Amino acid sequence: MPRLPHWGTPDRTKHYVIPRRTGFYVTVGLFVGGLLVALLLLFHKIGVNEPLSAGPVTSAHAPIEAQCQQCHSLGGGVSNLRCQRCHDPSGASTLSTGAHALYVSGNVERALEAGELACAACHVEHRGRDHPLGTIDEAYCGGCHFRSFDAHPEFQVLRTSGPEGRRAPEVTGLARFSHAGHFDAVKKKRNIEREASCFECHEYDGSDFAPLSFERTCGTESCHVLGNDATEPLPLDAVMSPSAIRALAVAGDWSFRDEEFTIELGAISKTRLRHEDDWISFNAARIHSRLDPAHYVRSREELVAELRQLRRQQSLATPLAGLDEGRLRARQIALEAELKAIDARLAAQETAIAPGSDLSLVNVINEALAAVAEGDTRAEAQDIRAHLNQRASANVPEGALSGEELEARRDEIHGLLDSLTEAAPDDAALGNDVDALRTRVSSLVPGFSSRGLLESSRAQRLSELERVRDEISLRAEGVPPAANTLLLGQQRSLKRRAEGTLARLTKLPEWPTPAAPLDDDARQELQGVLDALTATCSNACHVPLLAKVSVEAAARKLRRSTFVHSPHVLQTDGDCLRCHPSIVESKMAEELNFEGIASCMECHGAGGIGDACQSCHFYHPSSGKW
Amino acid sequence: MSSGIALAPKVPRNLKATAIVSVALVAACAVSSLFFPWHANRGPGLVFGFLAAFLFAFEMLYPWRRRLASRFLNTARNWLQAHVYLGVITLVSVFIHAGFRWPTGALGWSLMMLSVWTTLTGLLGVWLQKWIPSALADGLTVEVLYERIPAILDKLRTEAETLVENSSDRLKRFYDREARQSMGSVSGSWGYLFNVAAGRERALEKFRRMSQFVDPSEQDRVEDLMTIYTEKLELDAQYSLQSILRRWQVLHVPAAGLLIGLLVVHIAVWIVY
Amino acid sequence: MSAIDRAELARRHEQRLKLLVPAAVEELKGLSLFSGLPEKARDKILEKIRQYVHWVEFGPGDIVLRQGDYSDSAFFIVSGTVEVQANLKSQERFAVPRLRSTATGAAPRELRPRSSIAGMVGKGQKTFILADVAIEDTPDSRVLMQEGEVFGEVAALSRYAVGATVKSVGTTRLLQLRLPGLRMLMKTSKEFQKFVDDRYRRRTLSSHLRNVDLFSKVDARFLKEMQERAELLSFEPGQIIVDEGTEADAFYLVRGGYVRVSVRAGVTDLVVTYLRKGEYVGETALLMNLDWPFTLQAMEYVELVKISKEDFRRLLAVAPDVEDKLWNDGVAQLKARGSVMRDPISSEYLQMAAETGLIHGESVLLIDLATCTRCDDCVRACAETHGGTPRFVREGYKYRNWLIPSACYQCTDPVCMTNCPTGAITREVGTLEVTINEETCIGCSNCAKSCPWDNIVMIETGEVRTDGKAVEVASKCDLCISRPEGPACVQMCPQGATIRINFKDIDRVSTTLR
Repeated sequence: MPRLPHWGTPDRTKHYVIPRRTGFYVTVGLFVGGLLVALLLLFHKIGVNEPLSAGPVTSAHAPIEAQCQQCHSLGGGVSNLRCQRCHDPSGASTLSTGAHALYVSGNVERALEAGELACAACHVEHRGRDHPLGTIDEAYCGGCHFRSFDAHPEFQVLRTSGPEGRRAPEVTGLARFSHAGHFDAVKKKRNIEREASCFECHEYDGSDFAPLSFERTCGTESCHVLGNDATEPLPLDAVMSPSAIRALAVAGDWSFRDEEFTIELGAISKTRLRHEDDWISFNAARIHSRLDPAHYVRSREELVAELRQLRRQQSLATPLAGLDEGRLRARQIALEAELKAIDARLAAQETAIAPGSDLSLVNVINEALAAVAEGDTRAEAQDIRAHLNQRASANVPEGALSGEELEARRDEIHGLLDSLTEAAPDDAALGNDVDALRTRVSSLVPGFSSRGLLESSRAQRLSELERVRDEISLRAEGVPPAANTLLLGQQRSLKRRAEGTLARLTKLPEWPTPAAPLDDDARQELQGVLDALTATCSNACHVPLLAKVSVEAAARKLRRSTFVHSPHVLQTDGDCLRCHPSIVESKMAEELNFEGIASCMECHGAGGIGDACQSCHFYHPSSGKW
Repeated sequence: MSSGIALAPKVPRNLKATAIVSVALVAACAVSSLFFPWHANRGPGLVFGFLAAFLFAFEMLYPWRRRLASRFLNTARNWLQAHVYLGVITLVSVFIHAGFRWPTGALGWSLMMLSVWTTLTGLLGVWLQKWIPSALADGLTVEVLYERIPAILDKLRTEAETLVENSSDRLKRFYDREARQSMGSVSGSWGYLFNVAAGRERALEKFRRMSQFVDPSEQDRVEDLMTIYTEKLELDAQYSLQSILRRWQVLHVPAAGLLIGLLVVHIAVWIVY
Repeated sequence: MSAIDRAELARRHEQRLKLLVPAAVEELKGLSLFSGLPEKARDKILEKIRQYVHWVEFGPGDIVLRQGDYSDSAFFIVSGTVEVQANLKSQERFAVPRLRSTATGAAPRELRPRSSIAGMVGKGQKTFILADVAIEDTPDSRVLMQEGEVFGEVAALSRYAVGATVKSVGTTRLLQLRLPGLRMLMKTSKEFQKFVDDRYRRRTLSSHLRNVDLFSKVDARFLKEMQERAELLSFEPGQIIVDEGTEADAFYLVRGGYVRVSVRAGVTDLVVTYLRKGEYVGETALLMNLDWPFTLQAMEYVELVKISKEDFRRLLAVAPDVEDKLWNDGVAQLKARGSVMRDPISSEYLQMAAETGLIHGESVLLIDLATCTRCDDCVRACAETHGGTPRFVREGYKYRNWLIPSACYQCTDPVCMTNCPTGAITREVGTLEVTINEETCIGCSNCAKSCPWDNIVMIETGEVRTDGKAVEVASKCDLCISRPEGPACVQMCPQGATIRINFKDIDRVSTTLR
């Protein structure tokens, strides 16, 4: 009987076989996992954060890599507050999304609506030491804007200009200039063909064209030489002689040479005129201030307000890093108080009569007026009071005022305030209140209600408060204050801007106000004097009213992007007409002589050279210029 | 001869369709990540991060399937299918979450490595559990419980020794020299993984040659010895292959535990910071 | 039952064992039961029967036979009275698995099986009970039986469940006649045979016939006539009932046992199918006037009801829709047979099933070894369901790629149930699961010894008997009767490699094992 193979189990057991336990490896796995968690937690507690880190940070941030709280906040991720500790120490919010919108569109309302994008959303860290944090892939821009260069809209300056001739009168300033005429003149004088004659005036230094100025460009020996022209004799009661000006001791850098003046028969004339002649400028400003005092004062006030704002920013530019615990806390308390006050005022807005009509100060003035003593001024005071009351009780129109209406209103209120100052010049308290009111009225922007103003300042105070609180909490954790070096750039730029504003302010000196407003005859006479005074200027290049607006010579019209001429000059081998073809026919200064985005797309179209957003645009207005 | 319709098919019905769809999806995502890169914390990265975390949590429930089967998914077979398919989708989600870039940093790198390792060992397990049972079923006659192999081997050995007991000296010597040692204990070999009858012909050849040299009366014994020895070899094959199936867990499960631990840390760090 | 503890049950059993005294020939001679034996041969026959015959005594209220039990004995009342109780509402019952009362005495729950599981394990199947005692169809009807009466023979011969509970009223003395002895008696005593057949004919055959779907709509009068004219045959294991090629002259209905249906192919027989009780054969051959297309062979002790050709023809004349059905079924059968003949190897599984005894199984666990990863989750799940001890072992016979582990097959004729002294192993009437009530099992291991496949295992409970030996109970697969989701082994296999099939369902068997 052969032994057959067993199919199945050779030897069957008599008992049940209890299966082995399976959970062993699961337990091991979970145990090991738990160990790992505990280990990493321990590391974190003692400060070794490297195993938890998502990767090395860029080399610029390497010094602060060991402390996670320098950038990360508990429960808040990588908050902008932490970035701003170093990159925006003065709290100017120049790197915020709002700043970007403002810088780009110039529209404050849009800036306020812009929302807040996290810095870390585009500037992604932990990608290694060599990762260029400042360079952003243009795919991120596509998130809000268009995705390829082919979809780029036309330049705004061309969009808003008229369809014929592409003019932008308000941009160019007020000078008369004809390219076509100048081409002919250069050809005649120096025998250079049109296409090659651009460089005669536009100095190319290898990277870009130097800014144009009369002295260097126009006033050379062979072209517009001044000095042989003279003014008409002008009446001395309308214009001031140099000695009179010197006697005024007005602030500013005015220089006069007496031998250039001829005074006879109560009239003065200047025999040697220069470009931007100081005597003409001074007198034109003076006459202008008498012809249109309101406008003059307004311009001044605007400049003063700007200066005050800049000075305030400068004072605030003490970064939080420089403050110790005590002062931080003091600032926190002060901000909280300010916030409370603003909140109270906002709440009071609810019961306001109508938007934009906070009349509390007006009431104060009303009462002051009522308290004026008997005398001549009393009648005037009553007059003013009647005006005020009429205004106050008048129906305030619904909705926002248009630009002209706003200006008209503003003028009215300014006029009222001026009368007030005149009526009671010695009352200091009243003067302060009037000043405050005047500043506020000056700083009103069309379309802005006072509520909006309050809310924006509330937002600003709130963000400052957040920064102070964050700084306090960080100090408590033992994080050292942020480095100050990046602040210097900000401070410098503020200082520069303040200086510029101040310079413009000194060009508009403060005049004593005239005794009586001008009547029509006197006005016409004065206007005649002004015309005669500026005759030479007008005949040459300038249009009238030059005193109102200064000429911006060939200012770059691109507000939101940069443009460097050098690669383009190289590529076209100096052929300016390639991009500016209409310049040979251009007869007016207002003409832009540029074809627009289409001409850029010829070379920079999609897939062509340099079509990344960053080739021309900045996100942050001052980025790269620390 | 594989089973009839009554049992689940060896190759799932929609494997092809699922594979094509998944590959297409992955390719689409990979290509789009080149043009529109994303960070793991935004957009598709975040969505797939959530998905991956949720799927990992589900995968980790697998060891408790016997207790949960009454509430979800009904049978352990469904649990295993879900575990395998969702495991692959989890790995794909992890790739999409990372934006198809290799992560920087120790934590991210470890997570990626562990995910890849766990999924790959899982897929290795899938292959093993398709291949080994059919090798065992089709290639062998004996079927034993792993724990009972020593006992059954003892019985075989006793049987062989009894057989040899009352035989000629020649046969006894042959048995002592050639067979006794290997009959003493089970010996595993990786070769059985690829051929379940590996080495059998060579081993039995010895017996066949021996049968030439014994008396005709003992031919039957030699044949019986061959049968017993074949069964012993089959026990070896059973032992090897079942060991592989059991030891495979060492590759997969501890790594999964580590992965879950790191995942917890990863999520905690993300929430807190 | 739960009020009585195990020790008491064990004691009673031991007592009864002592009383199980083989009867002496002298005592037997005088009984009316054996009056039919021919005089000359009586002593010899009684001598042979003796070992299967016992005296048993029951006290008042003791249960002799329980309804639903499987019994292998007939009982002859020597003295005393017994009471027959049945609470049948009808003779059909749909199987609804019911929980046994748990150890804490909680009330049993009614569960509805899920349809997917029901098909898998045979829950929810129809079954029927034959009454072997004339009982009226009223609730709580009682019948008393006196000296000289015999009961329990149908259940024993046909291996159906006992139809009614038989209790002893007062003290009774019974003669227990076990099945081998019963058979012997039937063969040698024509009178006894007639007696048994008459009782079957009168009491059981009509309901049996009515439960065959062929005759379900036939009117009662016709059936009564059938009753009288039908022949009742018995066969021994291996006996050929009909031969292939002979003229088909009768319709057979299987009363009990298994019949093998095979065709000749080459030198051997190809098994086409097998018949179990309640199934019938021959209708196609009679309808189409063919010779027998296959051989019928008895696989064990088989009882058949034979209806002659003429009677069958008359039946068809009376019920024409039956004829239509038969034509349809006949065509299907021819197809099946044809496919078997074309592909002999494919019917190998039937051979295997018959040889290994799988055909008895109503819920056989099969494991596909080509898919099974040997992870033991099935055993683990079984253990978890049953308090830490599994109820089967993953060892067994291997057929092709199928493993048939030693898990209870829930046989149609559960031999394990025949000798349980306490009734701990039972099958609820109309259900599939043969379950062991642990509290009443005294560990006599009769069931474990009877099971031909060793599917019942004795396990220790941890208790210790008064004499120092450990208490054992029998345990076996109970189809996870306490689980609403059904068998844990099937549900918990991660590969889906386990399956339970009912070998009654030939189609399912073919698709699985072919």
